[in-house]
Amino acid sequence: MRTIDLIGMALRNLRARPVRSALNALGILLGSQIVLMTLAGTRGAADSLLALVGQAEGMRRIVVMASDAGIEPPAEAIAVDGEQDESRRQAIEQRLRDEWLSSNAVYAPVSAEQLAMMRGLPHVVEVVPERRLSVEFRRGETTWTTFVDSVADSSRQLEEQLIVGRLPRPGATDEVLLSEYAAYRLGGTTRREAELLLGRSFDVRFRREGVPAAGLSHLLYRTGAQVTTDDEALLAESVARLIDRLPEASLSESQRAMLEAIFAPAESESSAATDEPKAPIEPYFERRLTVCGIVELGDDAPGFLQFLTRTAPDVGMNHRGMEPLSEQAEQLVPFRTCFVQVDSIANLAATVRSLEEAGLQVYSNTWLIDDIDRQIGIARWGVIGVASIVLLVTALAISNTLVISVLQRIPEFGIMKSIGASNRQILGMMLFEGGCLGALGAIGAMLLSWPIASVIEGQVQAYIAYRIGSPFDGAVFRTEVGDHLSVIVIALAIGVAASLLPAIRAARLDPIDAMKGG
Amino acid sequence: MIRCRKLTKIYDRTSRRVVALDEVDLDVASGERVALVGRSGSGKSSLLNLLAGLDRPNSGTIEVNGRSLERCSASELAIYRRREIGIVFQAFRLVGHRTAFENVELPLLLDGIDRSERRRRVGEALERVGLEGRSGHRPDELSGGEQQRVALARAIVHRPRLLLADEPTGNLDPSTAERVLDLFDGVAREGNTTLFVITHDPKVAERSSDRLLRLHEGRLASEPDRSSRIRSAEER
Repeated sequence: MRTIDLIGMALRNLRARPVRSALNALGILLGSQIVLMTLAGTRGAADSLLALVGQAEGMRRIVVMASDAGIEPPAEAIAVDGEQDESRRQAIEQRLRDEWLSSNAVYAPVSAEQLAMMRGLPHVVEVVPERRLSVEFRRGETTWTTFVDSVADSSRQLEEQLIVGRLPRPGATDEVLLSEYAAYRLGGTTRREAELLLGRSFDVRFRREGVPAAGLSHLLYRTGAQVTTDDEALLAESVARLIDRLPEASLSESQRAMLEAIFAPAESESSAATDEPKAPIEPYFERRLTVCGIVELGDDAPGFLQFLTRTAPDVGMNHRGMEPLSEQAEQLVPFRTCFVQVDSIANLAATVRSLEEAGLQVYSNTWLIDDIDRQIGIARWGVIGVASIVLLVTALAISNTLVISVLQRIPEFGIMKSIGASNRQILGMMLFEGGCLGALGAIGAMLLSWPIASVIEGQVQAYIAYRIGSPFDGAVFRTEVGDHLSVIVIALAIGVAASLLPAIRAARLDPIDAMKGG
Repeated sequence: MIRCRKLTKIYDRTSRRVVALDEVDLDVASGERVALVGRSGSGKSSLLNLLAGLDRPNSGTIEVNGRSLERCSASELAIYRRREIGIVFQAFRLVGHRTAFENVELPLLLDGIDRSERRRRVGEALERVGLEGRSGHRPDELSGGEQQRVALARAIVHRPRLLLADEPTGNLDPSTAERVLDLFDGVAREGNTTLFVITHDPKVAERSSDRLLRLHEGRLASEPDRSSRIRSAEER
């Protein structure tokens, strides 16, 4: 018997019992629908969750620190006690290494070449090096000493913090953001007066030696020393004397080189070549800065600024504008950290990998994304488990109705056998009937999935938008070709599996008894 | 064509043991029309079921067209029923949800005949039994005589060499029965088909056979005066 005839016969048999066939197909349809919606829903939920998470700038931000300047922890510091399997031992050892480096090593600065490399990576929106310059604002006879920090001109977070004004324009070297506090210190004692600072220019003196001292104080802070800003110039002078005597210190070559890289003043090639005495460095250079905006930096300000400097800064300048000023300040430590902003959370992991491969120490939220993926994966398997139980119940119900169908069709099978149907043909006919039911259910499920998904998606999007207080158009369901193929396979499997026992029973019927009605 | 030797069929019921056929010897030539008569329970249907390959003997041999049915596997017997024999039952045994055309088409479907050939052969078979205009009707839309003619069309559509009929007129009124018997007669003669009819009605037996066999308590006996009766009928 040809397969096409077998299918045609199966379809005719199903059509002969339209109500029962429709109910069976409906059962498979519902089961398949649950599977399809589960697959699409969990994937859509993962996408939406990641999209929601990815809307936050901080989640798409990578903190880059140049690594450990080649310093290796002593063996005893990373020795792992007890018997461990290899992977656990390596993990613990890595943690011990990180801990030691964090508390003992001095990180080498991020170089200009590394900065250029980072800016050349795909999906990188912006690379913001941490720069801090010590400044004096002068107003009349009084001066106010503070810092200017680099800020990202593309940061939406900063924009959201703006009280009045706008962000500094990219590349502008004369525009600054003021914090509310800075605005207060510069004469904006009332809200109205603060707003009047917008567009006003201030004469500002930048301290050339500010950054090395700031870097040094930071280092000392890490060692527990208490250093105030006023001490920094003196401290730099003391360190310079120490650097002169560095060759006499009992340090390894790498440690000595690292200290020299950080603290020793850079000598220009021309002065080294001519051996001419260096001109004394002017302690200040001046600029006129214009206030372009005032930002609110309260306790809840996540802030790009706060994170950059660990304390809320007073004055922020576009990092592109900061670069020429930093060069003019002749800072010895250009910067030791920078932020890499990635365009999408989906590209975060790849960017992190690229940075790590370049030998940089990287901190990011990939762990959180992995955790979300893992949790959704667990939830997905849970839902699939429930869907599987539904499918099993469906299969049992269909099998039951097909058994009843076989009992009612016993004379028919007897007739078929008496005119030459083999056991295999009867079995095949019944299995094809089950397969056709499965196919009908799968097709119905796929056709219905679109309108059902549209309705649910609309409702869920509206609910999420209401909860987060902003429009949300993330996909709630996302199907892939594999989902549809899975549903077809599952539906066919249910149909065939449900009809297997009834089919065997029909095939084994004795034709004489069957014609008499069983 | 048909050759049975010491054919025995015993039914072991829970209450009693029934010997349906007791060492039956039977020879039927190709193209011969044979009627088997006997009372209810004499073993007629058992013999037909064995000849149709629907049942297996307890002992003895049964050979049809050189094929030893007792040695055939279930699938070989299915092919035998599909290709070499046609069966007509007293109760018509049509599939209720299929039209006359689809019922007649079934043996060809099972044998993998292609669609156009099926349509041609089914059309011929229905035309042969005079039901070409009723092909789209389901059994419950046909009279008893028409249903039996559909069953006959189904039995001959694949051009079998052996046509078995179990009380083919048992459920028909006399005039309809007469017409159906005419058809049997015509079909058997036109196709040189061996006809084996089981009946308890002597008139049907006489009308549809060249040779009359009688089965009594599982044992077979020929009617000695059969040929003379047929001759006299032909002279009339």
